[in-house]
Amino acid sequence: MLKYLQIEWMKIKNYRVFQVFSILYLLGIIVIIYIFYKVYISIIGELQKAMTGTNSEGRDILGIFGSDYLPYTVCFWTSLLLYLPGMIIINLFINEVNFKTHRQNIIDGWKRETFIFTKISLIACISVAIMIMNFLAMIIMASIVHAEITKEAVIVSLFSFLQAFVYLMFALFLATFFRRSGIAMIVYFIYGLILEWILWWLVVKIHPSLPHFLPLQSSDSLIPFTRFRELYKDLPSVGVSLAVVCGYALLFITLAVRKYKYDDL
Amino acid sequence: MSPVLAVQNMTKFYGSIRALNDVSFNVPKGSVFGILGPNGSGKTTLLGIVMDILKPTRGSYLWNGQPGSSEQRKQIGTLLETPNFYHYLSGQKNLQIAAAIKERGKKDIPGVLEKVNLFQRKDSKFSSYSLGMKQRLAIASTLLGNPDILVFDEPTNGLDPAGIAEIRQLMIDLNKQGKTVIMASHILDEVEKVCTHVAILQKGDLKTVGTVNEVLSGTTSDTVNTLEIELAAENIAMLESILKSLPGIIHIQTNNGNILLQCEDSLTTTTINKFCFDKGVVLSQLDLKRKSLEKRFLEITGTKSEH
Repeated sequence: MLKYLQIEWMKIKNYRVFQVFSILYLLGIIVIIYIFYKVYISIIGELQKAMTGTNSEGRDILGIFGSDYLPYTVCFWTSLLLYLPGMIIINLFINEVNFKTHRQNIIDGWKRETFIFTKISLIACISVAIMIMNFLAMIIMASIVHAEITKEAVIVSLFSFLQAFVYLMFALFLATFFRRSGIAMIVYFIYGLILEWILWWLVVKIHPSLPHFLPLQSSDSLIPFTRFRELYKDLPSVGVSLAVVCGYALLFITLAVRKYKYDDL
Repeated sequence: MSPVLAVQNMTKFYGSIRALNDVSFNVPKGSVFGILGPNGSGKTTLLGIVMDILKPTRGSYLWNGQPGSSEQRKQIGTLLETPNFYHYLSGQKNLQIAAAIKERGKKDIPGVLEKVNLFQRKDSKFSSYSLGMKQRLAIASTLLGNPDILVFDEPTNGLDPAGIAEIRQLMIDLNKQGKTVIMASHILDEVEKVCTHVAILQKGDLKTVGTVNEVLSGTTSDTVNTLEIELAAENIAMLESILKSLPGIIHIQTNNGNILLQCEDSLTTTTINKFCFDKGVVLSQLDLKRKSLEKRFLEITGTKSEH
């Protein structure tokens, strides 16, 4: 698989859109969490001022940047940026379709399975990179707020790998299914940002735990919003959530592979 | 010796549209095999299936007696339909990707770029290439690893006259080196000049297949055969008059002191000569005309373009 990934790297390393989006994402991870921290501290400061009349710097009174909760806070906010690498995946795959290089790679001697599994492996690599970035963001934030990096940080980082993998596999599945960049991206955003919330609203009436079994929400539920984890009282156990997330990852892999293996290219 | 490519009962439907209908033929080793047909006749579909980018509805194919596989495709240089490259990469980087997929080293790349006169522009982005340059890069890619089998779909698309001549000569040279070339084209002149064998497709049906000479002379099994013979004598009027009584004559056309005779292939020049002599006409000219592929193609497929 390494030699296939090397070929994949030859394809994308000089692609300007990939470079720009990657830099935007890397910067975004640090910027989004730092902005949230500054806004949060400033709001707390304002509240303290209103309540006590003293002008003092805000403190993390909710403890969301404490050692135990910092990993969740960081990964919750950075997960909001997962649509960026999702767009990259859609763009990279649709490029292959538009340039017809997805056919040429097969003509030149790749198996159809090799082509699609190389893309899946690329997604796995990008997910690992996202996990590492999240961990680095935790370290940076921990140094800013003087918190400690605990075992929880490693576990949450691993969860963020799964979350990224499911988001990106969903993007790849849509790209293989629609084969049009615009349509795949619109469906990706509409599903993730609107449709799944509508589904949440519909299925929560059936059973309060059901929303946590939706495709993207299941991976989001692995990293609930820190201190307010108690609010997610219907959250399935971590073991169940992991099984559901792995199930969806497998489903998206199967659908993408089947589509690519048996269809006309 | 097994053929380089054996296509067996190949049928392909796109929804309700039949693109190929029970097509079978063999490509002999060492031939330049032309697949000739009007637009939409199924040439590219056929090549797409044997390169595994399209799935047949029915039928099968064998490369060198073996079912198609990725390992075999690595040994075949293929240009299918359009040059397919990454637009944002240079010509050289695109060839590096193709070479890596084919598991060939990079050492062939300068040589193949020289061969198609693209070496000077190797570092330019593919998107900046003209149509002809893109086509030449695609041909360069097919030559990577010096494969024994080459598949070209409309190889001279977008090339200027000099480029067309170069590529045709390249194919002839490759064939002289013992390589088998399979070429789909709708350009009759190209097929006639380059190919040793030809298969004619129309609306997905295989109309005829054989060596170019067999197809031109109409001696393939599945066609109605006619001959064209040019004759002359001192007394053209008398010659025309007696020929009308010769059995097997289909059409007589007088032309600048000559007669162009279209007749059944059961007639030979010897028969005609003896018939005229017996009727008191001495022939001053008797030529069996070789038909052009264009004429033969139009006889087989009709004259209308198919879009």
